[in-house]
Amino acid sequence: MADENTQVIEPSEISAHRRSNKAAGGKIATGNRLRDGVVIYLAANGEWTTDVDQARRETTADGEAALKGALDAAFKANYLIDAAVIDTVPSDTKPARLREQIRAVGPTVRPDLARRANW
Amino acid sequence: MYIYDKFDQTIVRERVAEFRGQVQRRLAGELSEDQFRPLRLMNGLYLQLHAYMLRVAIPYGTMSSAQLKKLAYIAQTYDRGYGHFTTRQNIQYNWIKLEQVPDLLNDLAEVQLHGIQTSGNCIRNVTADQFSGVAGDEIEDPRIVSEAVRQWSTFHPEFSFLPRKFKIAVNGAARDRAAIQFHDIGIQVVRGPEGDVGYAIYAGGGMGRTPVVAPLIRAFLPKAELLSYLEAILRVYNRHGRRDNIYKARIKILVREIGAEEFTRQVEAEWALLRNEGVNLPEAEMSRIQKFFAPPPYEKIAAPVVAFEQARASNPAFARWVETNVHTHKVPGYGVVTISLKPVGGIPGDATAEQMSQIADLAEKYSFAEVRVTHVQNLVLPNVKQADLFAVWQQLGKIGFADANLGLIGDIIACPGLDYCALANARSIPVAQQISERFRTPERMKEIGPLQIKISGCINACGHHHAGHIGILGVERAGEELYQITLGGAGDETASIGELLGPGFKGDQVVDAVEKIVNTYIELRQPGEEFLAAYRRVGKAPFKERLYASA
Repeated sequence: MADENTQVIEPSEISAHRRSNKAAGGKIATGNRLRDGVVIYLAANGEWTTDVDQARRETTADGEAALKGALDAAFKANYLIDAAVIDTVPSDTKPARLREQIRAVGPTVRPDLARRANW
Repeated sequence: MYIYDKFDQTIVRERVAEFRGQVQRRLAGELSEDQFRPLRLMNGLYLQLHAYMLRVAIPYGTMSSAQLKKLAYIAQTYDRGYGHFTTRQNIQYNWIKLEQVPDLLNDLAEVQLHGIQTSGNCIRNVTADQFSGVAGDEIEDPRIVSEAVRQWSTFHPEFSFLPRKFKIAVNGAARDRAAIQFHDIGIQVVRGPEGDVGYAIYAGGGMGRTPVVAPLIRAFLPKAELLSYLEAILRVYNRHGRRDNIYKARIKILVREIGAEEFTRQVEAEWALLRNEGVNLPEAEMSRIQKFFAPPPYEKIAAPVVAFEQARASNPAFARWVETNVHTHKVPGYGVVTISLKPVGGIPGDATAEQMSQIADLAEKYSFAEVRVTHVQNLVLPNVKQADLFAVWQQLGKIGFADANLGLIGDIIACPGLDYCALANARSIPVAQQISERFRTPERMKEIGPLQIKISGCINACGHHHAGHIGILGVERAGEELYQITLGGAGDETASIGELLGPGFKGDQVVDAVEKIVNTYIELRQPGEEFLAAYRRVGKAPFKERLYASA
């Protein structure tokens, strides 16, 4: 671990970007794939997918714990980084927060690069 | 421009090889993310929203056409065909794969470029006036001293673990085009009482969550003693800058807490100890560097240039572009061309591989193979003959970069914002696009006159909103993007911090708010009075009244 004097700051450390949204309807697990940085989600079949529509959505505390367990295992296996459980809207895998929606789709200013149609 | 010697080239090559090994060990699981992250950041590799982002340093914004060609190649080969020029005169790639980074860096090293010290708590890429060496109002080319500072600060062991990042800017002209008073150290080339060239030193400026205009801490520093003086400043900061709180770790907080006078006293005391310790650059090395920045072989051109004058007279669109985007060159018969990377509705600072490649060709053919990046996210061809301006303009038109909006309302700075950045709270680019669409006609832009809009998607202020005549800061409120508007900021020699007008606006209300501000200005201005001058005369009351009264 980096100690105080060798600490190097990366954006994610000084942003409260993963605040929870209380109105959310479910949880999904996400991160960026280590080798290429691509945004990935834990899928229902236990694999990792780049398609948010395939994400495994959980609505219970046990389900959320399972998502965290999968993230933890993938992080320890050096498969993904910046792991997080994020909120979704009710009854869909659409992320609740705009930030996560943009992560799922791509930059809103480059529709030509979009991974899926915007919601 | 400066060409690496074997030492420069060797350290960059060795760093690429070292990082290749580190990437291999990370991918093999031999390094943890906690171990690896500081290593990748030291090479300019961040993780952003969609992928890794690589920031490549363009020292003091000067590059050769061959370097720009290589940047185009990188965009094409390793990214999605484009790059983003930043307010630090750097370029960022948004879609980088970690496993390809060692090869990418190896390719960059071929043209003496890298991502070293574009991240982390070290001395970052030195920035300078983009018109260095060609501006008529210049005392001395600031790139000479910028290069000296680059060499001194590269891998400087004492300053590799500062309390926080550290940014130095150099300006050599009367007009400050490098925003030096918003830097940790700002160096202004000046003439001393005896007419000799030296430097005025500002310290402790910055933007971010605590914007500060740097105080002048030394009115005149002899040229030969610059590095020892910089070292003294860095030492005082390294010793007393706060490491317990990231928000209070920049030098601006230290200077503010102990006061500019006490800070200066400590710097002078430190300097007295080390000014004769061999830190200063030997005269021979300084003149070695200086030779790299010798003027190119300009032709002697008789005025007026008839073909140029005729083209200007017969083509109003070309005449308008010359008026806004071509600056007076110190050599008669030449012009300094700024290529606006701000087409109407475009993404400020973005350029495709094809556009970069074409601009590199133009530089090669018309500008002694040299290109500059500006902190306003534009590119410059510094040495174009007036006789060639029409051809250059026509070819820029073919790649969509002939917009005549430099310094006008369409010439907007915008950080990547929430579309790309892991730090952002709100999007910046769509706001810039809406504004440039709303004020798209040349007539409207001309009516408004010089007006700088700068947009940041979070408090860290990469979009320089504090220094915008109109500054826009995106925040997040209850899950929604909200934009605060400030007025009266300036990043030039009259540096000032914009004042917050009032409550923020939703994304779809910002452009209307900007238009109300613009219309208020047009109604109250005196003949010939520019936006900033008018604001400074009347203050924020009339703008505030107009903006919030009818809401």
